[in-house]
Amino acid sequence: MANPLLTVSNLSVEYPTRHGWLRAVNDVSLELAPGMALGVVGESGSGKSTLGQALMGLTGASQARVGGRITFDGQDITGLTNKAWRRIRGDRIAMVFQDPTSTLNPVLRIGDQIAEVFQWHRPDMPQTEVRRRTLGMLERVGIREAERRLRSYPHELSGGMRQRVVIACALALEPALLIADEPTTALDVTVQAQILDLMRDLIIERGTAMILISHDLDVIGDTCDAVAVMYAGRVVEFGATDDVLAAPQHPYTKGLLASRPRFGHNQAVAPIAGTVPDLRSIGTACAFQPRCAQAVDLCGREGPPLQGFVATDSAKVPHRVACHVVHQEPRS
Amino acid sequence: MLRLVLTRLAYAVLVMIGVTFVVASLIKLIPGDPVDIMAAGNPGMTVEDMDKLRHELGLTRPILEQFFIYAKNAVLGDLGISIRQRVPAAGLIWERLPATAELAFWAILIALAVAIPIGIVTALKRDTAIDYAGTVVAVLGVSVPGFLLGILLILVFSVNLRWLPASGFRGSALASIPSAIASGDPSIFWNAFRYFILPSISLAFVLVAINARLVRSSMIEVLQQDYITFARAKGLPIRIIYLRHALRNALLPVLTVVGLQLGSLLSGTIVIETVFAWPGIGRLAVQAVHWRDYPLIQAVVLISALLFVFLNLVVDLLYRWIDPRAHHG
Amino acid sequence: MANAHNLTPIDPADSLSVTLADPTAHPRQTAAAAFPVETAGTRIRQALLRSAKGMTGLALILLVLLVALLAPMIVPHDPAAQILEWRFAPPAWAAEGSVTNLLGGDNLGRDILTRVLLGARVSIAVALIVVSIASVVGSLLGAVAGYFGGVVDAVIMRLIDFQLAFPFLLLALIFMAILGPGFSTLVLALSFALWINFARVVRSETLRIRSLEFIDAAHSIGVSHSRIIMSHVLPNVLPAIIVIATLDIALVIIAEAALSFLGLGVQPPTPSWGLMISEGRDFLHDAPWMVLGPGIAVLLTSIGINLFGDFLRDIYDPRLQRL
Repeated sequence: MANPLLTVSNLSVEYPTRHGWLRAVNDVSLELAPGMALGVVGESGSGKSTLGQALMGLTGASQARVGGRITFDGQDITGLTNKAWRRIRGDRIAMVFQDPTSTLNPVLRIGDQIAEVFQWHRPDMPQTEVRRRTLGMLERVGIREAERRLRSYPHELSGGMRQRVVIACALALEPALLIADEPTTALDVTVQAQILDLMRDLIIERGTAMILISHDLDVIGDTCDAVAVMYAGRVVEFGATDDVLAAPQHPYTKGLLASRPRFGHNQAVAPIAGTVPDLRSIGTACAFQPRCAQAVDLCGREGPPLQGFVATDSAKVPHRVACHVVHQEPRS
Repeated sequence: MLRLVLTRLAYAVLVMIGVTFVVASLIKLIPGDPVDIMAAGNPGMTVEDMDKLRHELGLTRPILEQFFIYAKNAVLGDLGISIRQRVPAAGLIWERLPATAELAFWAILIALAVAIPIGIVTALKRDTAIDYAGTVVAVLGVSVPGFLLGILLILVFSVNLRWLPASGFRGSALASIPSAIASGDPSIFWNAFRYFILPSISLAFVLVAINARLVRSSMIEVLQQDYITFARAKGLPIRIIYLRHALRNALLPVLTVVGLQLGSLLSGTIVIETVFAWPGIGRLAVQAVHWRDYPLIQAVVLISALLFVFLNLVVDLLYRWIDPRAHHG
Repeated sequence: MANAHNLTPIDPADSLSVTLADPTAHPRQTAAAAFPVETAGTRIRQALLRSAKGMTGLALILLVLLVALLAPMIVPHDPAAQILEWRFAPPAWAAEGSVTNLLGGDNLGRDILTRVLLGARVSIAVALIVVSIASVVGSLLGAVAGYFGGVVDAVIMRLIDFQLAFPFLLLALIFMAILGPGFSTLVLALSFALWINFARVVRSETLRIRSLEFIDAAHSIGVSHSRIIMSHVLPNVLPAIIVIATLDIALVIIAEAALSFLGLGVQPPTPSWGLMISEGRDFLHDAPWMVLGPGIAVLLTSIGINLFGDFLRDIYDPRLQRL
C-alpha cells in the first residue's frame, strides 16, 4: 500500500492475571488504507476487542503490556504519553462501543456529551459554533427534533437513538479512523441494519477509514472491503471480504461460515466443535489445532505463519492464511 | 414527578401521624402512675398540681381520644407545659432548635467537604499507602464514640493548648457572616464560629469516615463503567473525566446515604450537645429524661422525629431531581 | 453458571459467596450441605492468616474477651474500695505515678485499672445479650415476613419503616423515659433498635429462596414451613447474620458507653466505661487519666470488632457496603 493510514506491526497485548501473563493479542500485523473499511471477526475471547482498545491506546489503565508497533498517519503512536494520546483520541481516531446504554453517561444531557468533544479538542471554537455543529451532527445521524433532543438524557432515548448519539460523538470531528466494536450487537434486530447503513453512509461521505469489530460475518460482509479473521489472539486469515466469504481457506473461517444460520437455506447450522482454548495453555502449537478436523502432526508442534497462498493481482487485497494444511496442499 | 412528590408526601404524612400516635400514647406505657414518678423527680409539686397534671396528660382518657386531643393541640402549636420549667414545651424547643440545626449544618458540611476529596483520592490511588491510610482513618472513624472524641478534643485543644473553647455557644456563626462582612471584621464571625469547631468535628468524624469509604467504592465502581472508557475514547482531559463524568455519578449513592445520616446526626447531637454543654434540643432531650418531664419528653421526641421524616423526604425528592434516571421511577 | 466454573479457576475468596448464592442447591441437601461449614471454616482461617486486618481485630477481641472472662481474678484491687491516698493518683507513666495504680486513681480514690478491667464485663455482657436478642428476634421476624408474605410481611415491613423514623438514640431515650434508666432498660432499648438490621437481610434472602421451585416441591412432599426455613433459609443467611452481628456488637458497645455517659445506662457504682468517662469529664484538667483509661478501652474494643467485622464482610461479600 502506498500510503497506509494505519500500520500495525507484530502487535501483542498481554494482561497480568493471577496465573501469569495472558496474551490477548498475539503478533498481529495489519495495514489500512485511508477510507478503507476492515472487518475483524472472531468469537468472544479471540482478542478482537483488545485489538480495538490497543489501537485507541485504551489498554493502559489495566497495566497491560503492549508490544509491537502501531503507526498512524505516519506517526508512531505506540509509546505515546497520555497527553499526546488525548489529542488523537476522539479527534483523529474515534470509537463506537457495543452497548449504547452504558456508553453514554446517564447523568449528562446528550447535547453536552456531543458538545464536549468540540469543547476539549477545539478550545477556540465559539460557543454558538459548538452548538450549531452539535445540532448538525445530531441531525446528520438521523435524530428528529434535534433541537429538543439536545436537552434529553440518554435514558429518554431508544437503544437505536442512543447508538446514533454515540456515533455523533465519535464522528463529530471527522476522524480519519473509526473503530467500531460490535456497534449493533446490543440493538434490536430491526434497528441493526439502520445503524449499519448510517455508519456506512457517514464513513463514505467523509472518507473515514473504519475497523469494524464483530462476531457476525454477515455484518462485515455488508460493510467492509477486507476482513481479518481472529482466533485466540492471532489473525488466521486475511483478505478482501468477497474473497474470504466466497472461498474461505482456514478451517476456522470455514467453520465460522458454516455455523451462521442462513435465511432461506435449509442446510443445518454446523457449529464448530469445542471451545476457544485457554490462551495460556497454547504454547507453540496452532491454537485451532485441538478443534481442527484436518490437523496434521506439524500443527501440534508449531504455529503456522500468516502467508499469502495464491498470487493475487496487485490491485487487490492479498489473501493470506495461517494454516499448515492450506499451504501444504498442492495448488494449480 | 408531581405524582411521585404527592405519593412521598402522603407517605410522610402517614408516618408523622403514626409518630404522633406513639408520642401521645407514650405516657400510657409507663408502668405505675407517671404523675407519682414525676412528683418524685420534681419535689416542688403540690397535690393540686398532681391532680391537674393527671387531667392534662389525659391519663384518665381512652387512648384514641387522648391521641386526637394531643394531635389537635400539636397542630395548633401547643405541645404541653414543661413540668420542670413551667413554660410551654414548644417554646423551649423553638429556643433550642437553631443551635442544633446549625451544629448539624456545620457537621454535614465538614462530613462532605472532607470525605469527598478523601474518597476520590483513595479511589484513584487504590491499593497505595494513601489508600491504606484512608482505611485506617475509616476504621478509627467508625470505632471512636463521638462523646469520647469530643472529650479528647477538649483535652487537647481546650485544656492543653487553650486554642478553642471547651463548651458553650455564643450565637449563630452563619448569622454573624453578614455583619462580619459589613464591618470588615472577621473576628465577629470567628467569635461565634470557634464554639462550633470542636462539637461539629466530633459530630462529623464518623460521617467523614463512612462517606469517604462510600465515595471511594462508588468512584471505583463508576470508573469501570463503559461511559468512562467512552469519555477517554473521546480524548477528554483526565480531570474532566474524573470530575464531570465520574464524580457526578459516584455522588448519587452518597446523597441517599446523607439522608439516612441525618438520623445518626440527630442521635449524635444528643450526646455531643451534652459533652459541650450546647443549648440544643439533644441536650434538652437528655435533661427531660433525667427530669422525668414527660410533656417535654413527648414534645422533643415528636419534633425530632417529625423533623427527621421531613428531612428524609426532602433528600429523597432532591435525589430524584438530581438523578435524571429517577424522574420516571 | 456451571460452565463458568469449569473454565476459570475459582478464587478462594469468591467461592464462598458462590457457594452461598448457588440457587441450584438441592432440596434433599441438609443444612450442613447447603452451607458447607467445614470448608467455609477452612477458607476463613486461610483468609484470616493472610489478613492483617482480620488478625489484628481477632487479637483485640480475644484480649477483651479474656479480660472480661478473667476480670474478677486478675484485678489488682477492690473496685469499690475508696482509698484516700489514691484520690487522683497519677498513672504509672506520669512523673509521680506508681505501679500501685497503673492507670491512676479516680476522684473517689478507686483504682482505674481495676474498674476498666471490670468494665469490660459490663460492655461485653450488654453487647452479647443485646445482639443475641436482636439477631434471634430480627431473623425470626424477617424469615416469617419473607416466607409468608402478604399481610404478615406488610405489617412487619411497615413496622420497620416506621421505626426508621426514629433516630437510634432517640428511640433509646424513649425507652429510658418510659421504663426509667437501668441495665434492663438499656438492653431492651438497644435490642429494639437493632432487630431491624437482621430482619431486613433475612427477609430479602428468604424471599429469594422462597421463589425457588424446590421450596414448593419440598412443601408438597410434606416438609413443614419451619423445617424449610431452618434448613434452607437460615444456612444461606448465616454468614450475613454473623457479619451484621459482629459489627452490631461494636455498635452496642459504643451505644452502651454513650448512654451510660449520659447517665441513662448502667448506673453507678457498677464500673462501666461510659460512666467512668462521664465521671472523669469534670476533672479533665487535673486528672485526664480518668478519661484516658476507659477511653482507650472502648476504643481498642470497638476497633478490634470493627476490623474483624470488616474482614468477615470482605470475605463474605466484597461488594457489600456498609452504611
